[in-house]
Amino acid sequence: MASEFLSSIHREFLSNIEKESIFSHISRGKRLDGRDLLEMRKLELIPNCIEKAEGSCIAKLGKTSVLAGIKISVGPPYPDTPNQGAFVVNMETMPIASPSFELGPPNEIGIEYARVVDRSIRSSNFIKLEDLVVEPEKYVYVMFIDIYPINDHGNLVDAAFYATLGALLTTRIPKVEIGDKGPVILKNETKPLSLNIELMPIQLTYAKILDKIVLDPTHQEELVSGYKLTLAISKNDLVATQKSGAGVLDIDDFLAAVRDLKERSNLIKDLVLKQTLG
Amino acid sequence: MNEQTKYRIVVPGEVIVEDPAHYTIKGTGTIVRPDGKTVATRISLVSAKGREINVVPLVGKYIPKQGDSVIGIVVDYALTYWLLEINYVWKGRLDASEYLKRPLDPSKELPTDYLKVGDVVYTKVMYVERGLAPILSCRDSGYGKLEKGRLISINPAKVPRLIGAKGSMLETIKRITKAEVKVGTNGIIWVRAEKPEIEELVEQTIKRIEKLAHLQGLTKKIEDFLMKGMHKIQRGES
Amino acid sequence: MSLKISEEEFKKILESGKRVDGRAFTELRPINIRLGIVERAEGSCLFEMGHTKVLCVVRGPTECVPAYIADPERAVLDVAYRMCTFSTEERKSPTPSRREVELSKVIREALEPSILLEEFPRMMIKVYCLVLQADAGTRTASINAASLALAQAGIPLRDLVTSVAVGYCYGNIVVDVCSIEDELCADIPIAMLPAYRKITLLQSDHRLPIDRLSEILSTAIKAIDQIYELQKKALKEYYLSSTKTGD
Repeated sequence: MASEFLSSIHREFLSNIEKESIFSHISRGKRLDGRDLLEMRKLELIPNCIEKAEGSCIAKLGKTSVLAGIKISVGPPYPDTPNQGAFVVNMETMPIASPSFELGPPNEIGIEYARVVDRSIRSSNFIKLEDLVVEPEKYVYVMFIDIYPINDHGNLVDAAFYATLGALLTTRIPKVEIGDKGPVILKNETKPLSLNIELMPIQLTYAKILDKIVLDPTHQEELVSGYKLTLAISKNDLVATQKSGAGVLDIDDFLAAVRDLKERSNLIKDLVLKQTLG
Repeated sequence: MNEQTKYRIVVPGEVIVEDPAHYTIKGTGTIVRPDGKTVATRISLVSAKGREINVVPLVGKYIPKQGDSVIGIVVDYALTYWLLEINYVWKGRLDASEYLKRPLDPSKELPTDYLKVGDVVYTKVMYVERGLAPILSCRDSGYGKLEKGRLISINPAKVPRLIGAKGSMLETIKRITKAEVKVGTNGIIWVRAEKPEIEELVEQTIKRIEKLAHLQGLTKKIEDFLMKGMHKIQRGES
Repeated sequence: MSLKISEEEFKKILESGKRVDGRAFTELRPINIRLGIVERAEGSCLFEMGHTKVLCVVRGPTECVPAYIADPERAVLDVAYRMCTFSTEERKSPTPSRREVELSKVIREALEPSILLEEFPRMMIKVYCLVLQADAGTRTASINAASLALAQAGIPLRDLVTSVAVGYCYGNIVVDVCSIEDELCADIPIAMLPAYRKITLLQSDHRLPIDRLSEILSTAIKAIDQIYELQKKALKEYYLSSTKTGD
């Protein structure tokens, strides 16, 4: 692992008294902020916050907040998918969100989180990429999804995911005409991005602390967790998994987390749709 | 608000008095402008009583002074000393002899036999020079390792209000809750009580004092709040 | 916002005594200030001027990194100005451009005279300005935001720094230029320590008649005084409202 990607993440300290506090609460089935072990913080989506972006959304998960924006351009398709549009997910970890980030090229965390969000969205087939073709095999829409963490109070990866979801749900695709000099984007004529709403993925992150699994960890909980497990499901299928951190994962914990996510997914889906499409 | 004393909030650059020669200005966070006027350098509470003006900054990071009592977290160690995170730019250095009150023999023992990374220590700033690491000591009585309980962190600018005039506010908290409380000038506070509910109440109280720091008659309000809280906890028990 | 307009139409509107977005010549765009929105930072401010939105975060004083740039007499001020990729009409590459590097420097030099850096020898004060949406005046909004974030962080200041861009459009002086004016006219960003009447940032890159310069500056100062009042009000309101929630 290249150390240059680690050097831009500072070490954070937690005293033994704070660790003991977290542990003693969790062993009693409660958390420092009063939540139950499998209780999510309040999810709030504020879509359309950047007028210049084709799609944008702020996602707040408790005190954690993340801004995602989407810009659209037109370019040649990938050779292996000549009749599909393309999208790229990128996360910029500026020192805005947390004292542990530094300026510089995207760090390990930013790259991992962006790729996790990318996989959750991509493998669900939520975006109808086949509808993002301007001229088959020649020109397709390319969506740049850029994610900026604003306040890191833990579980950035889920906040980043919901910001992305909110941005996609409210994205407007501009009309494109092919002129003599190539494609021309007509920003004033737009239509909604075509999405498979029934396939909309729902992602949640669990953390292992002591012998317990907690949902939606805070940044202090992240510091004492063995591992984090990020899962995404779409309809009845698991579509993405990421175990992050050096702890070891039990099969039963994994299956229990998937079941928990399945149980919650419809409620979260309704919440996301209500807060974005109204 | 009291009619004799006038209070107002000033922001950086705002004039506190036009002609400093006619007033006594106490407190920190002021400078005299080239035109002779005294202005604030931080968001501050200004109280004026006759010709006496007191300026108390309401924001700002902790800057250690000699004699400050601080709460630190052990973050590193060498053969004969520990480094403590004290909410300042530089880690404080606590020599083993200043903690053990005797020299440490590195051939027989290590600093980690006594304090490990993550441990919390109540300690005093012995020497400090702006821009250099402060030197800490636990020689005086009352200082040393803190165990169990909980840590609360507040804006260091609000610590004087938490302690209160001649320690009145802090005494009120201790008297009503019977909790052990150590206040670090660096904004870190340690509380240990008989029950977690009481620790929670003390934390709420301290956060309340932090928020209401500029109000008059705060001690009475806090007393009422604590009494009510303790009453609830005792009722819940029976 | 991305409304296109011909030069002729633009001139015609000016001749009628108005501006393209309907403002009077000396009228500022609506300003919205929110303080303390990033909980894990010593100071933070979202400053909106019209459609321009800038988020500024202050961290420190912290250890000086890299250590060899530390100054034993005073703190080092580090400023980074960056634009979100989606803040502009065309997507901006996330790699910092030459423009972002230069603006980081002039913003730093605009803020530096206000800060009592000598109170923090060998330390570093970090200022991060992130443009969420760019619609003219991003450097001036960054300066206004940064100064407030510094004040909220409790960094001692001689005065706030206040900034505005004035435009010189076909003989007319306009205040707080919008993006169309930015494209078609000369824009002059200015920052000041208002209480001292000292300028801390001044740039221009268009032909300006010398006999109009003092008028241009006095128009800017009037606008700066208005923004300065809004900045002071925002700081006081933030302080009072943040203390009320305890009840």
